[in-house]
Amino acid sequence: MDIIVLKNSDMGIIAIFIALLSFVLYRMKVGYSSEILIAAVRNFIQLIFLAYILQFIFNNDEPWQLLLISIVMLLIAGWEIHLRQEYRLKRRQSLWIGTLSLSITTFFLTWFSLQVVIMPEPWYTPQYAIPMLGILLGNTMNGISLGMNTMTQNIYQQRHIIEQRLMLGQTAQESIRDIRNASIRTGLIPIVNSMAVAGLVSLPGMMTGQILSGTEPMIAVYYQIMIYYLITASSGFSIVISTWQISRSVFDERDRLIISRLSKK
Amino acid sequence: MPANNLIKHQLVIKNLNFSNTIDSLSSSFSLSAQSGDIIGISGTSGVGKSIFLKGLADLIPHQGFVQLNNQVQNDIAPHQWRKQLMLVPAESQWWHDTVQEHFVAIDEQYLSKLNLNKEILAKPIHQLSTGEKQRLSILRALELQPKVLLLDEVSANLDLQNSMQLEQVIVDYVKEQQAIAIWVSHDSHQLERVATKRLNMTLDGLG
Repeated sequence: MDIIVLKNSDMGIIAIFIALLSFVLYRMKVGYSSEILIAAVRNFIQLIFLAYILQFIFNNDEPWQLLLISIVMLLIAGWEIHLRQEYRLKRRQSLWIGTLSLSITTFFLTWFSLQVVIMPEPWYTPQYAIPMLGILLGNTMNGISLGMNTMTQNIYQQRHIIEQRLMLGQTAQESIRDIRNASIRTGLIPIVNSMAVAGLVSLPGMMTGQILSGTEPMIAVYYQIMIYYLITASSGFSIVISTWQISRSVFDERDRLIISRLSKK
Repeated sequence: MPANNLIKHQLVIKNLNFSNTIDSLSSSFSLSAQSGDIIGISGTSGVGKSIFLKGLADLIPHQGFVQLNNQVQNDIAPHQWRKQLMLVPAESQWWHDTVQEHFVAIDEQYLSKLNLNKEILAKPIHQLSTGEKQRLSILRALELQPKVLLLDEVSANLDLQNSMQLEQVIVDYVKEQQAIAIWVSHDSHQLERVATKRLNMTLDGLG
C-alpha cells in the first residue's frame, strides 16, 4: 500500500480551523485564543524539529546518540512532573523522586520489550527504541504527576489525621497507608479507564497513526495492545515507587510528620 | 478495662525544650510524676502547653530528657512510646466512616458512664457533635491502655455535667490502672476537681 504523503500546504489548510477557533474564542472574550495559537505553533515547530533529529539518528545508527536523546527525553519528562506538583518536597526531592521512579520503570520496560518481544536487530535500533521509550515516558509521566500530586495534596490536607493516628500508636507507614493507597488508585484511573474502553469509544492514537500510514489493522492492533500493557505496568510501578518514596520523605527518623517539608508551589 | 498488673510508673522530664526548632519558645520544662498522679497544668495561651504535650508524645522535634520507668524516649520505637504516653488533643480526628471502626472492642459500660448509648457506634462520623467526638476520643485512647495520658483541653466543648462525667472516667482510669495523667486545661475549677498536683506554665517553665 502506498503512503499518502502530507505536505506543508496540507498543514496550512488544516491550521485554518485552529485559526477559526482562536478567532471565535477571541470574539467571545473567552481569553484563551492566543494560548491556542501559540500551542499550535509550538506543536508544529517541536515536531518538525523532532522529525529532523529522528531522521538524523536513524541515518547514523550510533548508539551514543540514542542514549543521549533518551536521557534528554527523560530529564524533560522529570522536569514536567516537578512543574505539575502543587505541593513540593523541600530540597528538590520531588524532582528526584519523580525522575528516578520514571527512569527505573520506563528504561527497564523499553529494554525488556525490545530484547524479548519485538527483537529488532540490534535491539537498540532507533526506529523501535525511540518511539517505544517516548510513548512510555509520556504516559508514565502523566501517571506519576497525578499520583504524586494527589499524595502530597492529601498529606497536607489530612495532616491532622496522620498525626492523630500517630498519637494512637500507629507507625508512620500505618498512619499514611490509606492516603498512599488512594493516591495510587487515583494515579492509575486514567490509564486503566482508557485501556478498558479502547476500541469501543476511541481509536487509540498510535494504532490510528499506523493504520493511516498503511499498516494492516491486525498488526497495528497487536502493537497497540502491547503498548497499553507496557504503559499500564510502567505507570503502575512508578506510581507505587514514587508514592512510597513520598511517604518516607515526610517523616523524620522518629516517625514524626514534618509537614514543613512540603511547600506550596 | 481488664485489671492491669499494678506496676508503679515513674515519669521523669528534664529540661524538655524546643529552642532549636521553635524560635518563639525558649522555655524549658522539668517535671516528675508517678502512678496515680494527675498533674494539672494551666497557663495563658501561647505559652507552649500543647507543644509541651506534643514533645512528650514525641510528635515534634525537641531536646531534653524524657524517661518512663527505665526507658528513655529515644531508646524505644516511636510508636511504642506513643502507645504508652498517649496524647488526646482538643480536636479529635476520625478517618473511617463509622465510629466503631475506630475501636478494637469498646466497653459499653464506658459509653453509659459518658452518657452515650451504644447506637452511636454505628453512626457515621459526620453525624457526631463536637462534644460526642470529644468523649469518644477519650474512650478510644483509654481502650489502648496508655500508662501516661496527655490531655489537651479534652472537655472544652462539654457542658458541666458531661464534663464532670468525663473527668470521673479519667480519674477512675488513673486510679485503677495506676496510670499518670498530665492534664492541660484553661478551666481552673476543673483542675481543682481532678488534679493531685497543679502547675502553672509560664515563659520561664513549669512552676
